[in-house]
Amino acid sequence: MASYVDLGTPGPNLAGPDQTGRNAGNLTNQLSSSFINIYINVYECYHIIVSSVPLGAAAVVMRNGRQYSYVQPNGGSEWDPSQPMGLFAGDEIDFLWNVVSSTTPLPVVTAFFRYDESLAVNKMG
Amino acid sequence: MAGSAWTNELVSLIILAANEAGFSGFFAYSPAPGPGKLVASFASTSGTDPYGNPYTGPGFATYSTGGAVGLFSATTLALSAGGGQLIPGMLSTFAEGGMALVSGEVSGGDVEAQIRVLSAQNQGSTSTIELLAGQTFLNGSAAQAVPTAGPAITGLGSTWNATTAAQCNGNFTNIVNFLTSIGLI
Repeated sequence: MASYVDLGTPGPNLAGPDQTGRNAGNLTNQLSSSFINIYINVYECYHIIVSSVPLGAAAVVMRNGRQYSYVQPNGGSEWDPSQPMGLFAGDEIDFLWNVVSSTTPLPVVTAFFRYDESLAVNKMG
Repeated sequence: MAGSAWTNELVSLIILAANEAGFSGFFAYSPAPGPGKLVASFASTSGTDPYGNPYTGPGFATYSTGGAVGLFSATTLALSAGGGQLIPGMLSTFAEGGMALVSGEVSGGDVEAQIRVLSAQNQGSTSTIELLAGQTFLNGSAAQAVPTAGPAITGLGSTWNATTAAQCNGNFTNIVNFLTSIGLI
C-alpha cells in the first residue's frame, strides 16, 4: 500500500523564450530537473496549476521530450488527474505554448510532487 | 476538453444530442439556476425545467421579467410581450417567397392582424402585399383610413393615352372624381 510523502512545489515557473529546442520562437515553461530539484528515484507530479495564460493560447505538455498532455486554458487551469504523472530522478516537464515569445502575459506553471516511501527503490540504502 | 483532467479549458467544438422529450439542451440562468432565473435556452422542444421555468422550442429562446419570450427558429421569430399573452407576435416565412408579420393574440377570441409579402413566383403572377386587418391607418395629423379596393376607374376612354385635349381633360376629371370618392381629396 502506497505511503505518500508530499514534496510540495519548487515554486512557480515563469514561461520564457524556448530553450528546449522543441518550440523555437514560442513561449515555453521548462521545468527542468534542476528546477524541480527532486532526486528521489521514483516520484510523482500529482497536481499542476497554470495561470496568466494569454487568451487562446494552448500548450503541449511534454515529459522528457514526449507528449504527455494538452491544455488550452481560458486564462488558467488546474490539473487534477486520476493518475499522477510518474517521474524518475532527473526528469523534465515542459509546457510548449503555441504563442510567440513576445506574447504577454507570461504563463506560470506551478507543479506539486510527492513520492511513495514504501517503494523499495525509494528506501534509503 | 471533455474527459480531460484539466479544468476551465476553451473548447473548439460542442456537439449536443438534444433529446426530443424531457429536459435537454443548453440553458442559461442568471445569476444562478432557480425559479424565474432562466434567461435563455436552446432546446428541441418546449418544456419545463427542474426549477419550474417553462421554456420554448424548437430553437433558441430568450426570457425576461414579466414573462416576455423571444424564440428564433428556422422559420419563425416569435415574440411574446409576456403577461400571459395567448399567441406571440411572429415574423415568419410560411412558403418560398412568402413572409408574414403577425400581431399575435392577447387572449381567446382576439383577432390577429397580418401583413403578408409574397413574391411574384409565389403568386405565379405579381408580387403582392396583403393587409389582413379589420381596419388600416396611415399615421398623420389625424388618423386617415387607407382605402380598401374602391370603385374601378372608368370613363377614361378606350385608351389611357389621350390623343386630344378633350380626352386628356376627361381623363383628368375622372381621376379627380375617383380620388374624391375615396376621400383622398
